[in-house]
Amino acid sequence: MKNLSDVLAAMIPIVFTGLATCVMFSANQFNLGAEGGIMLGAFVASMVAIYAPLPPVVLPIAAILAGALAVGAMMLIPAVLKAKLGVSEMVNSLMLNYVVLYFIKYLLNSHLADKSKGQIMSYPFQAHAAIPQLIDNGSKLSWGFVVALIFVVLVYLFMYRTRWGYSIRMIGINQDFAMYSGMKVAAVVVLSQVLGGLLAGMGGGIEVLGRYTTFNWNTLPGYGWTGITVAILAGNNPAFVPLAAFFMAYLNKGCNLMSTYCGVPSQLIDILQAVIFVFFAAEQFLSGYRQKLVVKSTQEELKRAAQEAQEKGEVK
Amino acid sequence: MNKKRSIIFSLVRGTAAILIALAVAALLIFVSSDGAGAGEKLAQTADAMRQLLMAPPSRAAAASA
Repeated sequence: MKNLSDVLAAMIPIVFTGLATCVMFSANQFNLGAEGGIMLGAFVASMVAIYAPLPPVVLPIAAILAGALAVGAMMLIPAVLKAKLGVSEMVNSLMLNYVVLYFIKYLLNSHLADKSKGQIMSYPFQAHAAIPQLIDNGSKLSWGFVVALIFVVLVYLFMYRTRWGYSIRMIGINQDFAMYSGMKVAAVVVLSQVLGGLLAGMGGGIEVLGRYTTFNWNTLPGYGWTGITVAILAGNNPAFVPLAAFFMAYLNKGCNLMSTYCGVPSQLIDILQAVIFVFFAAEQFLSGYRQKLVVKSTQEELKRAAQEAQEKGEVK
Repeated sequence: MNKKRSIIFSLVRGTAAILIALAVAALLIFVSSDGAGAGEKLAQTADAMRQLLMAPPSRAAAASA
């Protein structure tokens, strides 16, 4: 049971980055900032968890919200540049990841590190900042898992049951058509990226408060890149994100086990992700099979139409 | 193409991509394994793939993801 809980715990940040990427990719915005976003969210949430004099329950919520808002604000940079100046959000957000990484490293190394420790890490979080464990079996599965599932439902409802979600999807399908239909393209472009940032930041806050007692991330955690694979596997549909995230977390743990017991480097997970990514991104992959399905569907429809016409003729 | 066929196509495409990725992983493990002969290499690859695909629910990793 503990091993399964470990897989579920590893899903939490991937679900959030997967959702963030789903929202941004649905609007055809190839923003890759979820990686830096989850790190910034974790850092800001950690700082609130260390220094803010807030009571229990309020402190973790405030920390997570602060992390989410910080990343939402960060995503305004590529979003506004794209909406106003047409600057590529992909290049911008990719570079922003490293700006965030080195800015956090600078702050941590120079001002916020606990100098009494043997490695670079922040001071410990206040005890009541931790997110409680969901199951008391020694795993790191926290209530963050439940929050992640709630957000899957909320994001799905937002994307498929609201006007804004419809605008995001419509702009993703055909931006010119959406613009000539009267949709506010610039506003939706900004909204989708800020929303993605809020989700990534929230994931970072939940991850760090659910699994750690200090902030000690010295490199980008990799959850943002995995989130891209998750979003692609889920077909940008938030409803399928938990399944895809479970699959990736499962494979990740499998790679760790393989590295421990068989001496195969755990970086194999990156190769697996890359190959999956390539085949999903390749438009022509299995296009012959798709063609067969289209032909079959069309033939069936024609047959049905002919049959209906014949029946009508017999009635007359 | 109707919705049902579209979903079937997405599932088949996704499964195919994942299977190809796993095949590539198996090939890389086979090539890089330090077994003496092909049989030993194959056994090592099978063991590694078993750890990757079957072990996560039953075995604890040394360093969790």
